[in-house]
Amino acid sequence: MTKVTLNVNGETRTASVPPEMTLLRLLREEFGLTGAKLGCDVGDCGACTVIVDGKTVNSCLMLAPQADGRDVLTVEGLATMERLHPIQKAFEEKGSLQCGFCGPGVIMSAKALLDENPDPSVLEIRDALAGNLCRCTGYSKMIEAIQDVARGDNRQPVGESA
Amino acid sequence: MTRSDSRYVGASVRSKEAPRHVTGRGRFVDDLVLPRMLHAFVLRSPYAHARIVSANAGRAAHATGVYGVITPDDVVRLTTPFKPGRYAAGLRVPVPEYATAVGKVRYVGEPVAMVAASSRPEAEDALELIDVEYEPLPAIVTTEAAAAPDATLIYDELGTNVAWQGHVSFGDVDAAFARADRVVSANLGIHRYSSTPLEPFACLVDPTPERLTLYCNCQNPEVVYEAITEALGIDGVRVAVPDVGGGFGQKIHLIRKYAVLTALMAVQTGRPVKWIEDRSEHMMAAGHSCDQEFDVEAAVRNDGEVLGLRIADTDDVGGSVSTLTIHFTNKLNNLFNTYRVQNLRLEGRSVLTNKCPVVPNRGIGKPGMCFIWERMMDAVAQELGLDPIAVRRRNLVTQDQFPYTTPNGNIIGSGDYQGLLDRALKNIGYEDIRAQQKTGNDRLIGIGVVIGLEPGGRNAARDMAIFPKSKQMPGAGGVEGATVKIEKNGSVVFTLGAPSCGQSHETTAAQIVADVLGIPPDRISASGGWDSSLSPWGVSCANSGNNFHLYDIGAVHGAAMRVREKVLTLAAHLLKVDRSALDLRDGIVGRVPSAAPNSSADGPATITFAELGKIAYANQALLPEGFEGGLEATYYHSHPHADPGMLPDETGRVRAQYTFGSAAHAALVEVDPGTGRVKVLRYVIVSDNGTMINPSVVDGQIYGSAAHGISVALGEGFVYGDDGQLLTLTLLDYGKSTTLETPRIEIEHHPVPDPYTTLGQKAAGEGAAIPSPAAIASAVENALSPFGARVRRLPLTPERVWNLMHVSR
Amino acid sequence: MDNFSYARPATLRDAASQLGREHNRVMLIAGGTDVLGELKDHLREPERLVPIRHLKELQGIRPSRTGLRIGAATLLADIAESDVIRQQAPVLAMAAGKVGTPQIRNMGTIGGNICQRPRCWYYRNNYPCFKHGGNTCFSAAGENDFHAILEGGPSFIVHPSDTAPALVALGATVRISSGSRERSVPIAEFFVTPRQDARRENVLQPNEIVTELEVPSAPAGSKAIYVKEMVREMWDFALCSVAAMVTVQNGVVQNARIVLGGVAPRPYRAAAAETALVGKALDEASATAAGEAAVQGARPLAKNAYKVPLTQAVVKRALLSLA
Repeated sequence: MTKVTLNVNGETRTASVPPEMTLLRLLREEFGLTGAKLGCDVGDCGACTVIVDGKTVNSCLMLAPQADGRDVLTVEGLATMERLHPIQKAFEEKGSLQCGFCGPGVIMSAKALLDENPDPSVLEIRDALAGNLCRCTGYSKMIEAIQDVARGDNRQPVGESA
Repeated sequence: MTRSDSRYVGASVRSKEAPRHVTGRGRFVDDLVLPRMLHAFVLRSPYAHARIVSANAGRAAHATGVYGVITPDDVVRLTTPFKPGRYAAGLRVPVPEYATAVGKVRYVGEPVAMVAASSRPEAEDALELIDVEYEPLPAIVTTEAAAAPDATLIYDELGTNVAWQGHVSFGDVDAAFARADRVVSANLGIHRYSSTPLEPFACLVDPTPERLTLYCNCQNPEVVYEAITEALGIDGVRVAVPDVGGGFGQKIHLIRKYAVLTALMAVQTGRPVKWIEDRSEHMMAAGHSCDQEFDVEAAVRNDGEVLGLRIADTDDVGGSVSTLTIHFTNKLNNLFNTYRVQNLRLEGRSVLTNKCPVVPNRGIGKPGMCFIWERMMDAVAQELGLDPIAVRRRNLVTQDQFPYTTPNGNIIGSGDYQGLLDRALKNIGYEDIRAQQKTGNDRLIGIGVVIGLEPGGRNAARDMAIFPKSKQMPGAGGVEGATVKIEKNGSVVFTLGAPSCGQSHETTAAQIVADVLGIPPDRISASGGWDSSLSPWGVSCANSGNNFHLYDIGAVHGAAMRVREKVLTLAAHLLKVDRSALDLRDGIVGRVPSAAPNSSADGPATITFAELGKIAYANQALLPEGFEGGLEATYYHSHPHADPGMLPDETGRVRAQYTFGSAAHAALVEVDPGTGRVKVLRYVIVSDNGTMINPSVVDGQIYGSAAHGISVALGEGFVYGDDGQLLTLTLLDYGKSTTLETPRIEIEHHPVPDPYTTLGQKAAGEGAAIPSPAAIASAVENALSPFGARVRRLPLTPERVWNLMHVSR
Repeated sequence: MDNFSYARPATLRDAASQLGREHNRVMLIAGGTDVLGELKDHLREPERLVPIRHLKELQGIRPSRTGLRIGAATLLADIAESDVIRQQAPVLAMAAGKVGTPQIRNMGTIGGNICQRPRCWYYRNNYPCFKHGGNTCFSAAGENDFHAILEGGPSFIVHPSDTAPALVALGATVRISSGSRERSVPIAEFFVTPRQDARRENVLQPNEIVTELEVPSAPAGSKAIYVKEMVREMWDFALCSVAAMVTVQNGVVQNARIVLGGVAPRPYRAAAAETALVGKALDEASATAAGEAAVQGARPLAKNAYKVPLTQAVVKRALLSLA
């Protein structure tokens, strides 16, 4: 067993894990953070995408010990109970997701993109999302939602509108 | 509610499902954890075809952490085989099929055994300790090899690998060919692909003493419910379906094997057992669409009128008999596409091979049928030197023919096919593109315009059309329920009869309830996931067959209307006014402003749902005489016009489905002359989904299904080696499309309300996956016209396109 | 994945001391994007994993006498975005930006990228092929749509790396350490053909670690491009890729480097194409001739003949984009 200590969504978390445990399983099974999903386990689908030290990674392709000492942000770390992150808000308003399984990963990729590039072109958005597969949506409304955030349509938290 | 006072129906109201999904709080089966839960793994066949000499659990059973092992012997001893379903009714002799392979394995990845242990690593390690001895047999991977007279038999008891042969024939096909000016023929093919939902199969079984609960991401719970009931011989079964990570037909049939195995393991160990399929297991064994080959002849007149079609269809159904005719019978749903042609003969052969069994995929059967019609329309145009659009127009069902009954018995309520084509041509700038093509340049740009149907609302008796002598009718027509309840506090909750796999059913149903009860959607919620013991479900309970828009919408509308009646009765009694003077708005029942303003002002003018709730559930003294307490109602819906043609007649005429949306697709593509790669420059859809309850949701369904069909046409698919090993085990090798290859899809709605459905709605689900493969094929063929190439088969990979340009024409 | 031990070495020397004398019993893991895929598919079952991504000896992009020294643990994303690499070795930045997906580039390292194993589906499906110690290449008579057209045999894998052709074009040197001993190998000699070693793709010994890449600056006045032709637009491995670097003076090509990925078991330097170009104006005719020369000697298999003209077209297109 290997002891790992990492900062998850702003909190220091520690666990003793077998070295073959992936970061994805550590998050889901040890920390109860089930937002990141297991879709392929080999880095193809992106459903497990989380942000480590500011960059998106496939958490299924990172061993938990490789994340030792690093900062991990998952979809659960984006919103508070009262307030959604602007990307989440835009995805909600556009109805960008359908089954929702790919959503947390897509949203983390979008977050990393907008953190680095607040005003991306459509092609840059498509590039940034190319590691996140979706079968339901054809990606259209995800791209539109990210454009909305970039344009500022969703920068301010908005209340329920009629 | 009348159509004119709809406040929420027709609006793109905010998604009910989104808040939990955007925050990662969706609840999928793998997110659930139960106390003392075991983890199960499935041992699968490494061979495409082999006899199982022995399977011994001994070493695995004694491994650390292992609580249970199930071998084929256990499965035979402890379970009853699955009953042959509607798709196996054509078998010459019944073939028992169990949850695992028994005696033989017939495809790579076929489940052979299961092991459960207290942790995943222990279970995975123990898999290697199950000793299975195989005697390999020749693997058969093509239908030609399978149908050869000396072929090794995949099922000895059938005596042949051509497990089913049959036909349907409508009109006078021979006469049509006799009076034809000429016959246009083509050999067409569609490859093996799949739906690959992001979430693979998942089962979690909780064997509590009173009954066994299965949490499962199945689309059609009836299939797993009956499988467990029959296989284990118990009726204390509850199936619960939480959030499902996509279905598209994939999670209907083969998932029952794992539901039964996991349930058996839970019963044997007395513990909750979770089994989660991994991606490579899903790719090799969760079901594919079948490779389909069509020999087609069209009898045509020189003016482009198609008099009739003869089709010989060979379906490679893989290594199972349980879904033998599923791709064939689904062609009945749009056998004539949008055309008024009266004569057609479709011959089918379902051929067994040592490949993955076949299951529905987005659109099943219908993309193949649309591909046949639309490829033939282009072929006819080429052969006669006519414009391909003109040939289509010459044969379309015209507006004055609606409601139109197709020769095989489908009744198409409404449509405007010429209008769809007109708009698609205009939106993509068809004339300009054609003109530019004539000016000539080096670029290989092509345009394809096709039209297709989106059938919706399944008739449970459809499949019997090809088995008129079958005694076992799996049901007929459709029945589906819903429950609506006003809570004591005035909020509203509803329960649907069928699960959702991401099609926004909660949102859409809430809009219906909102309009009927006059309460905003944010005060309405769904009761939760699907639950066999709470959901009012009938034969139409299925996240398939495009059932939701017809049955579930009808049911939730009916249930809401019943609750509305109760509300009006109770409110009229309490307000001491005539019910006709009352209206429901924003959760308040009050007098219609225009109605009798001077009527007695004794009591209060309004009463809220919360006040009604307190009385209805708690204060019998205030209830009118004979009023049933509570404000809840359940309603089971059937299609009002399901009766004519509901049962197949002796010629096989039957109403396969009940509503028929339609769409024209226009694709503009460019072929790279150096590499053969196809790029979609524009993709335009004009769609008739009838009255739209939520246009944003309809758009979402169109975007997704179009993207799937385009991806299929351009390369996603399975590749087998000649030893029957699946080579495309990952999404990467399989080739699912990303954001970068998926074109922007331009949608225009051209709704023509359906005359028979509750609100005029038609289906909006898999629709755009039906014409899109044909649209891409048509456009690529047009782009390759300098080479005289004919696109007959999919997928159009760089390799295939290059060969079309330079090798085989 | 099977159980393995995992201990984080403090130094390069510590890391090297954990490596044994045979391949695969102890494996290095840097970004892990290829290694974990292999372990999950049970292609290899090591007793121990030695993580090296954190080692300070493997970090950094520094100037050197002739160009740049790039630590082997440098992330592909960092290479793609590095200003100094974009200036001095643009073809490498372009190639790194074409690897996999954003997530993969954020995890994968350049050392790992040049050492990645083949993507051949027979290899990945654990067929007992040359790469797994057997004596057959199943693609030779099988589904070889994506296999080698050049330098194939007895194994017909193609080298999957995007950065490797760029590094060969730049004439990079691979710095290798066994802890006690260091050596430098010109990158063209780092990779091997199956005839030299059918089981492996490079000369790395079981106890060695790639520590650094010495990348000479691209020649003054040169222009370069990396073109990657895939079935899809991203995520995929190359059907054919071209790292091309040319110097044109007075309208005439003085110097050309043309290296192909995805068509041979190692990055393939198309020397004949370079020869066809030098001394000519960079135009349609010379680019076409270079494309034809690039596939001289190609021996396609039953199902990959399309890759020959595809490679010609991609080479031609890459060169014309530099004209």
